[in-house]
Amino acid sequence: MKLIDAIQLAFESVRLYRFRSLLSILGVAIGVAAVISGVSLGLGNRESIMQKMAMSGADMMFFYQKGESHKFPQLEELTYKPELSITKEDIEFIKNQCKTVKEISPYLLMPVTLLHEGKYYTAKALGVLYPNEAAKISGIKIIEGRALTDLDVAAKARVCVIEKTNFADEIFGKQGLLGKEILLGSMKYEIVGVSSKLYFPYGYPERLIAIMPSSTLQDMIGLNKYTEVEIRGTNIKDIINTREQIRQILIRRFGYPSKLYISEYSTYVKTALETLNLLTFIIVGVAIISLTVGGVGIMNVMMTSVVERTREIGIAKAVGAKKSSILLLFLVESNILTFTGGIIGVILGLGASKLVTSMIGLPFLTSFGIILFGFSLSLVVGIVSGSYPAKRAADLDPVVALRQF
Amino acid sequence: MIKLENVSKIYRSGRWEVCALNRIKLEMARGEFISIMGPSGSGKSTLLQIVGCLDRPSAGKYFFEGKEVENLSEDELSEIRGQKVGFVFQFFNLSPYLTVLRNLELPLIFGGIGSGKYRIRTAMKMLYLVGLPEKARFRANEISGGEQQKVAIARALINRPALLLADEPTGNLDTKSGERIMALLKDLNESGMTVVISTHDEAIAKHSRRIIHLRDGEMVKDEIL
Repeated sequence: MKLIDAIQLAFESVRLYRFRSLLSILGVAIGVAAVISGVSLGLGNRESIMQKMAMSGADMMFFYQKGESHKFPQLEELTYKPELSITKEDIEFIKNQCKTVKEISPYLLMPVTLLHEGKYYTAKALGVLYPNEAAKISGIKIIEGRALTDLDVAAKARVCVIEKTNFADEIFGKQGLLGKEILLGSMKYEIVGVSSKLYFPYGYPERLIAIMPSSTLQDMIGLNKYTEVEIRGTNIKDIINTREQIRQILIRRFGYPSKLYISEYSTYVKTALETLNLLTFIIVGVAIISLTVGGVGIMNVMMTSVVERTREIGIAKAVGAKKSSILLLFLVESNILTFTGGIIGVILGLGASKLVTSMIGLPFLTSFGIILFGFSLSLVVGIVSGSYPAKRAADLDPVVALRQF
Repeated sequence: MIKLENVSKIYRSGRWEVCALNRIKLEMARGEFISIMGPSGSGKSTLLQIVGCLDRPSAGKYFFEGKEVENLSEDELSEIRGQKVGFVFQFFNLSPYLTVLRNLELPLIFGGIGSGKYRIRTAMKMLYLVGLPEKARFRANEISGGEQQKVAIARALINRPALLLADEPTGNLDTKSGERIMALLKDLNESGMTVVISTHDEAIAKHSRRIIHLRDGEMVKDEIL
């Protein structure tokens, strides 16, 4: 028998047994729709959790030299000890070795004195090596003037960006900061930009923060080092691995226990990551269950069909149908059912997940991959659940089959 | 063409055994027109089923065109049924919801023979032969018993078989329709086809040229007319 004839005959039988066919199509459609909407919703949920985590900085880590951050350094700590200092080479090494590092930004954070109109103030100088990455990681937003550039760093330009705080307003008064020259430590800097409030730990409400090229600052204090490094991973899921990788690199370079502090992960991140994994697990579970239900439905329908059509099968065999022809006929029929059910299921599933995501405000995430997956699964279900009934039909003895009334 | 050597058929159902055929020894030559006669339960249908390769003997040897059926695979038997034997069933055995035309096409479809066009042309030719061209588009359950029997014969003939087997071809028909069917079978036989029918009606059997009498599964008489 030719395939095209089998398809035609199978279609005739689907049409003939409309109601039964409709039921099994419905079964598969619901199964596929459940898979697609379940997976889409799960992915949307995941994406939203990941976005929230990224917003809260869960994809970040940092390390710093103990005793050098967030407080005034002791005198002996200011002494340059090359083996204990984070250098540009360390940063570049990490950048090259660890592929899951998306952004890395070293800082040199130093207390400096600010002399303004005859008065001394305590200020903090924040030297940045990569202004662009620093802006992304630390959320430095320029509200007036311009941001620092790589050119500033290369040229050791004596420029700075001042954090806009009440404190800054008090010192400089209301008459604009841009273009002013200030004396920080032993050098004069031009204020080229004003940034919005920095987030902790770089925002010190009681201090003036001046962000400047790290090269300029290093020149001024005569130390070629960084005090801390912030890192953003490419992927939240990998951040724990990224952290471990970097920890290993640091231990190798600085020894253990070193004078480095490496950030730990909050239980929140761990829980969130576990939730993500659980979610994936549930999605896959739901998908498997729905398709199994659909598959059992199809098998049921096809079994009924074999029993109902025993006589027809007998006739077919009596007029010369081979086993393979009967097998083909039933397989094609069950695949027509699952194929149709699959298409309807894809449409239903996409519609349902679009509706639900827009209702509860999740991102609507779907991909050609999911659709293809759900659809091809339905075909697999068609073949698997159609095989047994088809085999039963093909194995019928023509004389026995014809005796059925 | 056909040779049965001590063919027996035993049906088993739990502890019960029914011997439908007992040591039948029989030969049929090409071009014969044979009636198998006997009361119901005498084994007529069983004999026809074995001759038509629908069933295999429980014991004994059956040769179809010199080949022993016992040694043939199921697919080879299917091929014989499709290509060399035309079987007309007592209760017609048409697919009730398919059209007459589609019913006739089935043996060609399962045999993988010809294109759609060729099949329809051949099927129509057969319908003209049995005198029912106007019923082509009717469903098999929408036509009368006599017409169904004609369609069943047309289906049996569609692959131009060498052997036509008809199980009680007139059993469910009125006398007039029965006579017409017999005339058709006679014509076919005269054109060279081997025809074997079963019947319990002596008047019908008289149309043939040889009558084989069965009783309780045994051959009691082989009569040449």
